[in-house]
Amino acid sequence: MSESDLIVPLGQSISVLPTEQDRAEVLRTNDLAVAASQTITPQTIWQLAFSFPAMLGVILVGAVGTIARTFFVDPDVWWHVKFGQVILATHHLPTTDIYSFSVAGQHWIDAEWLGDVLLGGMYRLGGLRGLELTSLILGSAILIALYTLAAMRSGNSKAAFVATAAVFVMTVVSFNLRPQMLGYLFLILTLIILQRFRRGKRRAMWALPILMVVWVNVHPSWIIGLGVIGVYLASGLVEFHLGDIAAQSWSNSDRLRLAIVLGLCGCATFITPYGAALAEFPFKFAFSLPLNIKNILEWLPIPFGSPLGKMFLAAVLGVIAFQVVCRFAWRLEELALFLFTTTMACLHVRFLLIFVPIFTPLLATMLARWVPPYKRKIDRYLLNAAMMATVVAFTIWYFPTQAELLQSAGKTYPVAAVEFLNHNSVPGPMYNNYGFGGYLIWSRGPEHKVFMDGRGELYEPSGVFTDYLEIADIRPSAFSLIKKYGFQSCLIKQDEALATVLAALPDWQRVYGDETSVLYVRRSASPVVGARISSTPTENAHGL
Amino acid sequence: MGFETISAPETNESSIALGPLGGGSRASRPVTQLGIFAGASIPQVLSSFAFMLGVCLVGRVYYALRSFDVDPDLWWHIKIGQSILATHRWPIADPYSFTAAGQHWRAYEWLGDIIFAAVYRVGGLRGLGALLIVLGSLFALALYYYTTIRCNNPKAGFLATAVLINLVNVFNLRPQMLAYLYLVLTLIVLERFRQGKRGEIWLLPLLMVVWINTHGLWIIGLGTIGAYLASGLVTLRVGGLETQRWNAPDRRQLSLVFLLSVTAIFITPYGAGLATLPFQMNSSPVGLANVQEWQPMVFNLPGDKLFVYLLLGFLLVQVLARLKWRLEELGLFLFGTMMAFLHLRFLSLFAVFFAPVFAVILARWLPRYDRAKEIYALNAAVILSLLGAMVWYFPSQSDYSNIVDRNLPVAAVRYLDTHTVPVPMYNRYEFGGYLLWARGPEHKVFIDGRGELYEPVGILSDYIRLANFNPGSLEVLQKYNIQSCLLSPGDALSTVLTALPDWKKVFSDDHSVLFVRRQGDAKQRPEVPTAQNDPVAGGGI
Repeated sequence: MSESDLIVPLGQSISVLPTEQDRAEVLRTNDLAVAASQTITPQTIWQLAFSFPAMLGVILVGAVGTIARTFFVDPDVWWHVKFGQVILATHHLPTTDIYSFSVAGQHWIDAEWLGDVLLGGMYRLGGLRGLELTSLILGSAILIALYTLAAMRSGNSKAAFVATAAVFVMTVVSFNLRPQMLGYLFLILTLIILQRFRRGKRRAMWALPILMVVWVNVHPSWIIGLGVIGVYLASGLVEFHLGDIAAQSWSNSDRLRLAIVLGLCGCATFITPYGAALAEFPFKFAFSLPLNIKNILEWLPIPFGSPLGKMFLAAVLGVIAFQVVCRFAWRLEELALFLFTTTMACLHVRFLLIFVPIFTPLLATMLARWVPPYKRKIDRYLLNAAMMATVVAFTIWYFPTQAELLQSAGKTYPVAAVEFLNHNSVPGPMYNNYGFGGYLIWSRGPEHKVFMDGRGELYEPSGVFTDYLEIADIRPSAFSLIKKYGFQSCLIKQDEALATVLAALPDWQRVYGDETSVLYVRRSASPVVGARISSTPTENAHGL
Repeated sequence: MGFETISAPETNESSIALGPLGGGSRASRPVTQLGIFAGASIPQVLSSFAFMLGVCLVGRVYYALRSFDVDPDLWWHIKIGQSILATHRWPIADPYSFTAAGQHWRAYEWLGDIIFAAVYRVGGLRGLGALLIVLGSLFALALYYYTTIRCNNPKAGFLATAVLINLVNVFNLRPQMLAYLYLVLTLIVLERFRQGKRGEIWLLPLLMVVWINTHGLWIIGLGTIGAYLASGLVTLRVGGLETQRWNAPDRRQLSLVFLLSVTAIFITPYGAGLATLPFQMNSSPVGLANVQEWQPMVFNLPGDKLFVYLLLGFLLVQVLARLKWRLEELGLFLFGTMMAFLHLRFLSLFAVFFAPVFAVILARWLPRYDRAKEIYALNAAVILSLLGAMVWYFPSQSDYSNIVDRNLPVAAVRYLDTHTVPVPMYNRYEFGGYLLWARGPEHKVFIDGRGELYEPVGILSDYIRLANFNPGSLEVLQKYNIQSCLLSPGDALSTVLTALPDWKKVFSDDHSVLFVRRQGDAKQRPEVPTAQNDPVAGGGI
């Protein structure tokens, strides 16, 4: 058997189930591990590289390549790239906002600065194609890591592949090229390391504090990683077997090691250029930004009416039905994490990214009851190699050009409107759609000051986010707020409510429009050809 | 007995219930054979601990429902019921709107409408308030009884009902309240049939005749009977799932009841017309996507989160305790869960289908009911106190009027009654039912809660477009030649009309605002057309 191929360092002679403890665990959890657990002979690199499990991994990469072609990026990506570019150029980290007129000069820290630097660097290297490549690499790494984790847990690479493919849609929905993709990857790596630790491979544990240093500077999801380590540690403090759940006590040395690693990881969260401020960030966001939680799409519950929601629902109900019918054997930490992540994913769609890494190994283990294990002796390396080469060739061949990527971006972001702004004088201050703020910062900042962008933690405390919602939803105070801010122009989506309203109001004139965006200018504010956009309220702002 | 109870904990409830009663009073008093009260005298039943728990549930329902938080659709239901009572004809075309005037339309819930109208005729708003509490209480008591006979533990039944009642979101005085009561009654009959009490099963076809004329949820009732029948066609024992074959007479009996229930759905004044309603929702994508009760679960209410905790709690208990479940119970529970996730309105369905499961789980840990420890006097005192408090604090007619005033455009309607306001009038979706009730059919509404009427002719789409201010949506006002708009002050359209020069606000209060086009300003009109006792217009059968 060679089910462990995916988790074996290349060229290393290994045993599939290296310890008795590991073997007992596999048997206890009903894994279809490649049971005989005999030591295998040293493998050549090419055998590993062109094995059937490796080929399955490449297919996942190919699938990511297909998805990535759409260049689906989050609106926040643009300001992340911008800040990365600025940090690379100035070697300074921002501490105040210089990109908006609504909260100009307010204290603000870039909690994801390291991710921003990566994005800024990749853009510097390859423009939009550099960003696309980053998306492809990160997406592939996440899928491969997920597949590896599932294969380790289930002891069945085919079942792991089926499970990973089954959650593909739920996984790629988080592939938005924001630094959280790195956080996603780090979470799966943490789970892999902990899984290996449980199997007696202890050295990799010391990588966790280093990973945490990187993580805390990349994305606030580090707190989930810290929690996962804590859950693993806590679930090994007792030993019991109750119903279909088992907790296995850590040995003294393992417990000590894990406790030290957890302590070091906790300390690592303070190793940032902002000191302890980044460690506060997740708590600040969770508890002091209710408007963001209530209104931003990723913080809303899973839309259960959508295909994505139905998949998630099928997963949860499937687990319940499977438990009743087949009595799945849980580890304590798995059950705790499954219950926690399911709750969180129900409440906030963005937490699908923590549900998936917990659910996928479980699904693989459930499927392993019916999926026959991989048998190396019937593997056809040449066929695998041909298949892999085909997938890789297609991925490279169809890698989008700069123009194609720009065209894709133009379907979601005001690419053409920005061109219009670059060549025409439009009076300011300008109201902009929330989703356009990041692109405006990237393409025209800091000279062009935005009203609003995706940095919710910046805009909510000062009340700007509330005002934005009032205007966007045409609530009773909408027009008085337009007056308050003295908006002379509005760059908004062509199908949003405000566009319909401005089209009906006599004081506003549409000066630009395409399928993505529309630009309105107040009739009483005369644009001056050649002048740059202003960012301060005009003295004579009045009416609508 | 056709099927043994599975997974109910070992208790001696049956022996307690069936055992001899203490003292010599048994011979001289009438005794009941009903479930857990079997063998007890009527006074003992009425002052028992189990009965006291039931009264506590009624008190809980009373406390929640005395605020009279009813659905906006109630008002058109009453109106339709009043019309049917007055004319003895069932509507087949719409006489209440100008947008879908004359369109083919059936009163799918006519029997519920009649009940509401009759109660309103007798007791006015206070009568409706009492009806709301009575229906809510009956539902809670039925669920309590159902869970109790399922787990043989009234304490577990009470606790399960007390928790799950928080998920029930149909206490809004629409005919679906009746439908959920019928669903629990169906489950009670089926559970008793499973426990060997076969006579009542013949009530199900009769219940179905009432149900089909009351609300479209009858299809769930039919499916429930089908699930019970199907799950007894095979013997199965897999993991924690068990089924047991019905014996031949029981299977025949249940099959016949099922067929009679299917036949019953054609016994309506509209023939087979009412049977199509549940299937129409599939062809109503706009309503499904936009009407709040059809939205997926959004977890913005405490009960929504409780739903998730209960679901995951079930998984946790199943992992720890390896419980065994009947196939039909598990199937209905999973179905109810799925439906609750997909549509908010079916959270109540989850509550009903999860109730027996929850009660059985609770019964594992809750101590058994012991009649020997009963303190009847104490129970009676609690019962009387609760009932006395409920009677004492029952809201007055003016309390109910104030509640209605606070939530509906009552003052705006008064304004309309005393002023001439140009028409056609656009109105908020939620105001349509009240307008229809208060001023119909003379006052023709733009839209109300009858989605099955408005969606096929495109009115609902137009309304949604305008409510969302989609591109070009203001043209809807031109399309229907709207001369006035009755809106909520928080509506986006209200904000916009305030800013548009050719519209003028002529009335406003905290709940509603009325705009008219400037060329059609409101004029004083002393003579007020009342529309409370109109005959049905637009034909009927």
